[in-house]
Amino acid sequence: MTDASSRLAETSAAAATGARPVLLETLNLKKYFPIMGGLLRHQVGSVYAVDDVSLQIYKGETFGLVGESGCGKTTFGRTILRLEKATGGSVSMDGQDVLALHGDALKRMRRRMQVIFQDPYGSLNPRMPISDIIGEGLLAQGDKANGWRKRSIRDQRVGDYLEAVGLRRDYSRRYPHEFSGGQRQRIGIARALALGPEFVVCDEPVSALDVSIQSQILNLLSDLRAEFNLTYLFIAHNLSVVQYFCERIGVMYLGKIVEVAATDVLYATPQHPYSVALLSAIPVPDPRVRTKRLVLKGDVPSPANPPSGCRFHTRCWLRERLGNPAECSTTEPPLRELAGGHLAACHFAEQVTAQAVQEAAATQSVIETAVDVD
Amino acid sequence: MTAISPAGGADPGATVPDRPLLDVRGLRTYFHVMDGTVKAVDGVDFSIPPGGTVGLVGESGCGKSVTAHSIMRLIDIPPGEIAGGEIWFDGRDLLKLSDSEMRHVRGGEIAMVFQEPMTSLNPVFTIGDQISEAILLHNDVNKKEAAERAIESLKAVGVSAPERRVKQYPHELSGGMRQRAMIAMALSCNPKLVIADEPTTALDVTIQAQILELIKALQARTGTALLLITHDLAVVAETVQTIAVMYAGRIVEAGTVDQVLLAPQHPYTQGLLNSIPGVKKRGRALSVIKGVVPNPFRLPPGCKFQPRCPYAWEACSASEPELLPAPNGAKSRCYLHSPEGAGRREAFEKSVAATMESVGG
Amino acid sequence: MTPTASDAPADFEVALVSLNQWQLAWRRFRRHKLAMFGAGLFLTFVAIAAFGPFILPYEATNVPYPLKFCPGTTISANLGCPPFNDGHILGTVGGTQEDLLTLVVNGARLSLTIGIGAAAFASVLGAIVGGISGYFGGWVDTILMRIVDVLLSMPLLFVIIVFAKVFGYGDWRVILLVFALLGWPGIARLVRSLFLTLRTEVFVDAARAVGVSDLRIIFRHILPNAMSPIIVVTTLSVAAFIVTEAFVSYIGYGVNAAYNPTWGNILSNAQNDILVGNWWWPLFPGLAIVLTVLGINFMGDGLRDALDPRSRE
Repeated sequence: MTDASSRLAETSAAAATGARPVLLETLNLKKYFPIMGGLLRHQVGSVYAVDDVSLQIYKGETFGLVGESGCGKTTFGRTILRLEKATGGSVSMDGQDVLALHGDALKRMRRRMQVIFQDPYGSLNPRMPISDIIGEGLLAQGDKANGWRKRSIRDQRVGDYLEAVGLRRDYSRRYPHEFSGGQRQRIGIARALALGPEFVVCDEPVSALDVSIQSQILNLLSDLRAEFNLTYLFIAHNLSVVQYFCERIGVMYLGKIVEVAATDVLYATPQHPYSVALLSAIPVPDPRVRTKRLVLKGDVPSPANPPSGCRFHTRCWLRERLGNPAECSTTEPPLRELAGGHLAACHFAEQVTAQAVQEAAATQSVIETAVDVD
Repeated sequence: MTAISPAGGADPGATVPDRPLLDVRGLRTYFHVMDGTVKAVDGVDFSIPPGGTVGLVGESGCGKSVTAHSIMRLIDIPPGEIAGGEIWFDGRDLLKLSDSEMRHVRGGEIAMVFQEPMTSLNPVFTIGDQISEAILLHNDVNKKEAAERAIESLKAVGVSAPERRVKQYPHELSGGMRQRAMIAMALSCNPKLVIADEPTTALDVTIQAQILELIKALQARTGTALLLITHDLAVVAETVQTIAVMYAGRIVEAGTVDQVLLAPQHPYTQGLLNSIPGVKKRGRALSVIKGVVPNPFRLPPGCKFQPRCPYAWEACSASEPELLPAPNGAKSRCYLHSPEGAGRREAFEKSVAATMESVGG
Repeated sequence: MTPTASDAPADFEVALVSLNQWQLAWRRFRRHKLAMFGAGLFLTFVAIAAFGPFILPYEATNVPYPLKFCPGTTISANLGCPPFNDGHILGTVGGTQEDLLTLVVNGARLSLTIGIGAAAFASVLGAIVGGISGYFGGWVDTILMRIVDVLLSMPLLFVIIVFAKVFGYGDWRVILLVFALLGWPGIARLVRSLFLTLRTEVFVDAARAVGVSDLRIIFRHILPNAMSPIIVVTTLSVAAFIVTEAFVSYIGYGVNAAYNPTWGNILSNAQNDILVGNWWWPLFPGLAIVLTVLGINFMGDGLRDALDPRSRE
């Protein structure tokens, strides 16, 4: 474990200096889902799941992407992996344009970028033994150089990775229904890692698990990160997990990145009003902590019909404090750099101070929070 | 009066002023399935005073939801069976009530809020119809009065424009709004006890915050007793007064929030607190509870947590401990609190102190 | 660095015997008493159909020399003789005076062949068309589903009459073909909806993410998971086709009784004489239909329970 922690310390230091090479970069990435309707089933609108997202993920780091359901974080991960067809923008992996690849080149790229899914039950085919579930990718990616087409070589590698994720080699003949949720998640991790990827999208990998199993899987992911030099895009809605696990965090709201910062910075001085509320909403298992939390009003608006200007303005506590300035509802705030590596998309990010948060929390009504925001 | 007390032999009607509102004694709920019998709840005792708030915490499969469903008599029999125990509520044993008497209790005196509001609301009726139906069922009012009270109850849970909302169908509302409607329905008949089964688990963080604050505020306002069932220790920490931690169908630790969360007296509770990731644990491996929850068909001998427990010794697998009083006043089902365990307690307490250092923040 | 031993899940969680989904389904099916009874009933009739004609002393198409009276009685043999009469266990039929047991046993052959054959044909065709439609979607889906809509709107009798005009009346192969032709669209719709759902399963995404080809995804991921409902529907449609055959033959558009007995046309011939009191003539073919269909339906219910992954213990 000490290996992992010292490594983590090193990498966070490097992140702060900004001297690290970028592994994955998206530029104005867009993914709109068409809404079909009418008699002739023509397109009547779009769900703006991911809208103009530009991010850089450094080699060897763990980048956390947080947000509530419908914010587009999962779609972002799937679009990078070419599981969804992007509507616009670009994704580059190590300088290679991912969205332009097809055929064999795309298949080779898949070896380098892998994914761990949220649902440990749905992500394993119930009709396949574990050896096929993990070995299938090897078979598909087999060539002369790696010899993965040969059953014996494949089985050897499947066994190796089962052991790497803390399962026994001889489990490979068993079927998914024989395993518990945590064990299934380990199998999903083995499947992703067996191809030897550099970049892994972890899409809510522990959200479906119990607390005690969640910590086992987080430790495993952390150990594997060190062992195989992995770069993670860690997608989650649980902020305590992200705070613990990631070096940098991006906060998403309705298809947009609203804030990006190193974890400690985001935790200490969030600059976007939404991040503030999100952090404030985390329940803490310590009865001594009785700070008044800042409760947002209303629900997340539909991504099919996002608010004009700043997408958060309908629920924004800061806007209310500032007397509803017109800018918020008319002009979309750009994601701008406030300090080294700390970006936020808010016209009035500078006004987000501890004092402002406290005052806003003190004056709110906690019952009348279910208002219409659209 | 302590909210959590072991089952006493005394007549429950004897001491009326101090009588708990709900007193569950030795509850056993079994399920007879193809491969054998699952003892989902196996000897659970706890009580809630009038207006009290109790959290029942544990991981999936620990029996917390089955306990709640047993109280509401919502267990399917068969395959289920309430194999033993008593559930005293307001001077009556719920397990001895007839089905029609129980229907009156359910929704009228005890109301339940479920995890998934979409599946517990009927999709073909409007919100208003469903709330006023519950009001009509348990109160002597006419349809018009019931409809008015439905609007009032929605207003009370902070729903804006309730006159419009009552005419909407469940699918037209967001998840948070549906959960508010469920809470409004639960509170519409002024129940003495509300059982909330994972009320915020299906919701987003900011909506969870809204609902938790709402439950707290409403509980304080109405004085209704609350049984909150959740897997999340952080959720109970700020919502209830007392906690019972369940593991493998048993309560393993019970006490006030401060007792249980600031100085856990059972290795399982400590393990749970240890497992919660947080910003203070960054860069360190999380300490984990080794292994997995035991298979309900093959429960280990003695203490059910013993195979995963770092402090276990021979006594633990020989017999199962009772809920023993711990030094801080809580109760723990652990031999560390027996005279034989005294010598081992120091190591445990040191480790608990270390745990508490890194929790929260 | 490898995970520490304490990270590894304890072993007692994993079952001792490893069974795949089909083995588990068989285990569940075996415990379903009614389904086992139904399967037994059905297989008995299959065995009777397969081996019966070789054992029985008479031939189905061998019309005996007509008797005037039933042996040892004064009952007119023209209306058929009652059971247990002169070696005819189920009696004889009126008119031709053939042995009823021989007819019913030989009738089982064609009735079951038509039922099983049409169901198998319809399922294979339906699975292929539905699978293509569901997996690829788009205009392929639109065209195939419109064809399905047209076929589903065709009245059965009309089609049978048209086919009879073209291919000749009373040929059992024509009946089987028509049943299959009108049966597959329903199955295609089912399979299409199964594919549409399974296509979005996470394990399908996972397979795509590691670079598995479309063809392999269809055959290794989607089809095996769609098999259970297809098997159940196929089983139940065997029963439906047996009943339909009986119905079609009964009203006179079915298989020609003169060459090929089926349960349906035996019944059809019996209908004129029901009022005369020779109850055995319609009873035994009718009983054969009821028992077979009941057996298949019990078996289908058991299969549905056994193959449903949600009904896990």
